Amino acid sequence: MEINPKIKENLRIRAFYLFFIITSIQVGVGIMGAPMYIFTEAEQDSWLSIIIAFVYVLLVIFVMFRILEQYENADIFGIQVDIFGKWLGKILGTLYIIYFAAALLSVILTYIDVVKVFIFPEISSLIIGVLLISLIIYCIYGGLKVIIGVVFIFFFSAHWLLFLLYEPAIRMELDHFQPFFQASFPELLKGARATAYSFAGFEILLLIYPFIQNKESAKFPAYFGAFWSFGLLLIGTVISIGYFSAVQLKELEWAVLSLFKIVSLPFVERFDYIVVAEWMMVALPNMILLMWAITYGIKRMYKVPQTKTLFITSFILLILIAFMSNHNIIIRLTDLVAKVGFWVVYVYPFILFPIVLLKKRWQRKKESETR
Amino acid sequence: MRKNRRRRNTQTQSIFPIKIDKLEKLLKDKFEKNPDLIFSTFEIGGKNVCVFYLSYQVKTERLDNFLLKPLLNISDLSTPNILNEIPIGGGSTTDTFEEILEDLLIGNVFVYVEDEDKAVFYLIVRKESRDISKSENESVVLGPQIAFSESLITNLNVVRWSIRSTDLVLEKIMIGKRAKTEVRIIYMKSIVNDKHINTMRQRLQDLDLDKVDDSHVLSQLIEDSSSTIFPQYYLTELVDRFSYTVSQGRIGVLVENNPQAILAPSTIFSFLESTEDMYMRWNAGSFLRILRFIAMFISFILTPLYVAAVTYHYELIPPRELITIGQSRAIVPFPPIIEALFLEFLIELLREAGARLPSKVGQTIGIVGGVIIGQAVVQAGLTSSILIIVIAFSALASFTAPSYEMGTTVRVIRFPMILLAGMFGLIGIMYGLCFLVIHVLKLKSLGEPYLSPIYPFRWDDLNKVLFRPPYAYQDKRFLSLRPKDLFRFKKSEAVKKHDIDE
Amino acid sequence: MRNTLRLVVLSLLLITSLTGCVEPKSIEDLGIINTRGVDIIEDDKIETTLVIYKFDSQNQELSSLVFGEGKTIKGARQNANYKTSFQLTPGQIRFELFGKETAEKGLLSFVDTQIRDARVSDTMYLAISETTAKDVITQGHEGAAVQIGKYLFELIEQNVEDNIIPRVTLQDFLHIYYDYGHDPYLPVLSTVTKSPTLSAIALFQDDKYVGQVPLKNALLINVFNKSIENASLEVQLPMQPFKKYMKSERQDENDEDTAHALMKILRGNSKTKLTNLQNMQFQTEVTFNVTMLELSEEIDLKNPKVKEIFEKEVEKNFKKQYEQLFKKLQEFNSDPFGYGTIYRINKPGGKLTDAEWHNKFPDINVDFKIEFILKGHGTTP
Repeated sequence: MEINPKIKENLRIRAFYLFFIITSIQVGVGIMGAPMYIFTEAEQDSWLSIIIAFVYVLLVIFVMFRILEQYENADIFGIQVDIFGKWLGKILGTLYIIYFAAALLSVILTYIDVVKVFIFPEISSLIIGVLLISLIIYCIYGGLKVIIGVVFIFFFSAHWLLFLLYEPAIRMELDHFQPFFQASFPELLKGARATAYSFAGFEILLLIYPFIQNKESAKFPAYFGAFWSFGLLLIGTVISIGYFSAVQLKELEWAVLSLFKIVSLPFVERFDYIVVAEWMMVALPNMILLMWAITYGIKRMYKVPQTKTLFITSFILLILIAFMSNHNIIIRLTDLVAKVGFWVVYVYPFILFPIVLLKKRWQRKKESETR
Repeated sequence: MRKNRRRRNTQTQSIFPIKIDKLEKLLKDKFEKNPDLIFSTFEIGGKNVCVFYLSYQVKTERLDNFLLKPLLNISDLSTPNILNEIPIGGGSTTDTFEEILEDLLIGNVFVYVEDEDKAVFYLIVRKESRDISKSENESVVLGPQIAFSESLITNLNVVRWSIRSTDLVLEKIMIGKRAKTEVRIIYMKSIVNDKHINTMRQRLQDLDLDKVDDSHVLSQLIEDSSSTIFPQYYLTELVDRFSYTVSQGRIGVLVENNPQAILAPSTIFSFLESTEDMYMRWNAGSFLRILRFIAMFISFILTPLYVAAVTYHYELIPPRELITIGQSRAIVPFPPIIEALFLEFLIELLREAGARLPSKVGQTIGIVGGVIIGQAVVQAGLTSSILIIVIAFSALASFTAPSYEMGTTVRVIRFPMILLAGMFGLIGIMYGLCFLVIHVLKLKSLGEPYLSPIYPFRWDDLNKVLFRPPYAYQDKRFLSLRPKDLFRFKKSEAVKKHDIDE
Repeated sequence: MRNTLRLVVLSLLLITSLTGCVEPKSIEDLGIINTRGVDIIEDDKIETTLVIYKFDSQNQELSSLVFGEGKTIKGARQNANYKTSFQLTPGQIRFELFGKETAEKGLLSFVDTQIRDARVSDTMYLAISETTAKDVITQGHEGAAVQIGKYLFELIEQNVEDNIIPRVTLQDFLHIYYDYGHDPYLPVLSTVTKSPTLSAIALFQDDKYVGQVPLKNALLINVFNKSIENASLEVQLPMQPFKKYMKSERQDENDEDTAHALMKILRGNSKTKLTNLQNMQFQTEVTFNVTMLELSEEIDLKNPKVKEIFEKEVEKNFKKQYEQLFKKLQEFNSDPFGYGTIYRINKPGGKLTDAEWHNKFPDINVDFKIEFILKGHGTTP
């Protein structure tokens, strides 16, 4: 396996799209339920927690870029093999892929759960699963360019939902935030950690980096993408806290979706139905990117054709979806993904970074010695 | 192309010199049971001369006055002398039998002097075509109304007049093994992207078929994806649209005997823009274009939304409408999806019948369908009156597409959307929309992304597709087509502002 | 590879069609509940009175009444379902009426289950019936020519839009209920000559009905919770202070002691702060910008002095109204103003339970400062 994969020129993407990739994979189903989890930890100071989390995310992205910059054109799989050797590197890479698969499963299951709660209580999970996965397969068949296109277009076709938040926003009560700064620092950190699931996903940067055409301008879109999803999460959480009273919010599973329940226009009475359906456009890019990461990762490491893994993964996912329709299992899976994700996404880069630096320094030393 | 072939053919065996009897026999064999080959032999100045042609492909009057009359007066008959003395331009010589046959078909008259080693021929073609007329299928209110006709010569003439530039290239390609058709690739050589030209030329030359029937067929033969329902090349019969598109750096293809020109590469937005947007003032033009986008969206979303709301999501309907919709639904014996499909089907029948029938009867069908059947259907309780409005609305919206093919596409897409809405409600509609977006993203037209410039995103091109700015701001050609010459004029000069009272 | 794709897509479609679609809920098969009345009858049983829309080709009658009994709201709906050929659905409930006795026992159990149901709209209005919910709805249904469901909903909606009563949707009620140190309120409906009318504002302690105040006090409560615009206001003023500024020639004829003024509030808002945490001393400033619509006596408002006196008089009047209302609230121990919220914000730690607040509320002191600004006097002289 080569450490620096050679990407054909016509498969490369402009760095500008990195913004959409990062935002789309971060903002998925997580944001719908995030306010409850954050609020339980940090109460009215949740917004502070989100800011802390955002700063930390920026730090992680910074470290990721530093790691990637040590190589010419490598991704995480190549780097791990380079650092830890062929065996350990591949095992770590496989773990990474399993994490992606679990995240994908949790995203699909969460969306199905939301559809069941809000629109069709009696629909079978498998049907929505088949619908979603058929779209994923169809999209991934088009290759990375089509995937980025879907990400790009769905970004715009879902953002109009923000305008609908006007109605709950003007009903906010400011005194739900007062008194300020009541949460202790550990509570704030716990709140920040509760955002892990919704902010996770930007680790795709470690995979997609070799595909970027103009790497020198890749930084700003990545940071700005993280900023954008931070802004969305902040808006969602702040409006939820202002709109719902504390007791309500602590028990409200999909707070952001419930915000839309009071939105009504002369031609549509209940917008929450439309929002839940429209959320497919938010969740789908997320799923597609994760699925791409899985298939591409396996191809990178084991040279299995992507089409094959695509169908096998889809099949396994469908079976799992059929059996995991219980709400509690979904919650537990999401928790698990959030916990594992915390280590994989937020901690692991900090461990990898010094090792990469050491190795590179050692290599350079060796080179100069041989010279 | 032609030169190539000639060079190749000169290497094959020449049949000349030959005796005239023998030549006649050869030709008569080829045109067996074809009484139209005229083969006349004269004796002039002791030499046997034959003149042969296909009777109806040739202008007889011209033949008599300018060829036969002078020919009889030539004293010393030899090939160079004939070329010199006959007062018709464009005479040339040939010595192979294949070429004689080919050229006979398109209205050439051959003169052969016995025992010479070359035959002389003149193009005295007679070609019947209808006059150029107003465009029937793409109607516009403003701007030139002239449309292409079936005659390639006329069309080329019209195109040349509308783009008077030496830049304009009209490349000729012959297609068809058994029956050849002339096809012209037309482009501005200083603007067009060479990649597009090469692709188009390649695709046309690689075609391996007997005969090209029509430009629609040709466009489907050279398209990028044949499984999709979306048209990938815009076919127009409007000359102004053709010349506008070509001068923008795209390629036009004219096919012999066809009034429709192929424009390539076309994006999804080409199908939604009308030349009228250009002729209108920029604000009105922008309004019309945006109106068309909304109309397309409405036309495939409205009926499915009705079906979804009435079948699954009664919560969506505002209380006031709830009563009207509910009461009109109460008398209908079918589930909403059947009701909607039935009515859509009826509308499509009316449209199809109106299109097939002679135009005078067609109008009657429109009236009968619109007024009488609609009324009767509601009174019979087969559909609800609300649905009639919904369907009429979306049918009307689909007719606003400037391209008839795109309108048809949108109307066909509506049926699977209705089915999805009937099966999965809003989720089904959203599935359909997502599928469409992914599908359209995958499409390409002559190698260019179909959704360009939305994706791949080009900020500079948005003002040409989504709306129309004043002309001073349209200083660039399509960046996403990568033309050789991007700038049309200097924007800084066009938008220069004077201070007050200067 | 294309063939495999096609095969997979086909098989997916097949699976989808085989597993079947979603059960349709066609609009004409449904009895769409529009208004629901809830009463507790003996043994904790609930009786619901449902106004439903049904779309029936045989019967032109659009709305009809269905009754159901059960232990829970859903149970009662189930029970009502046995009595009609239509499937009753709650997705379009616009209005829910509770009997007074029911409200006295607490509304939380009814309301909380509603908001958890994703099908139920959060924007439905709630109200209390002077008698039982069944009474008001049945009488209205028999008496009024209009559809009772539509009528009730529009009655509340109109008055909310005119700022006569505070907005009391399901979400508002619950949100106020769950906020610490804030008690909800609902409008009260009663039947006068068979047609339901707004009669008072019901006050709650937590989720339990404790008493009511007259409808005109609604505005006083409303101005606490939002800034109001375009509401009309009627005040009665003593004539005494104006006597010496009266237009002389008319002075003799005028022997009325009081004047009535009808004003329109251009903008009214309030500001409350805690002035003393220990003594629980609050200060509330209410500001009304008004314009005069109608004045029963000829008071010369163009005269700045008269205008000042007029404003003073109205302020005095309102201060009295507020103090009376507040005393009543303390008697009921119900805090619709939300003083508890302000107390909580200023309290160290920022925590306060409803029970704590109900211990403290009767002892708090509020200093009402009313400010009236007469912006214009319309066409009245």
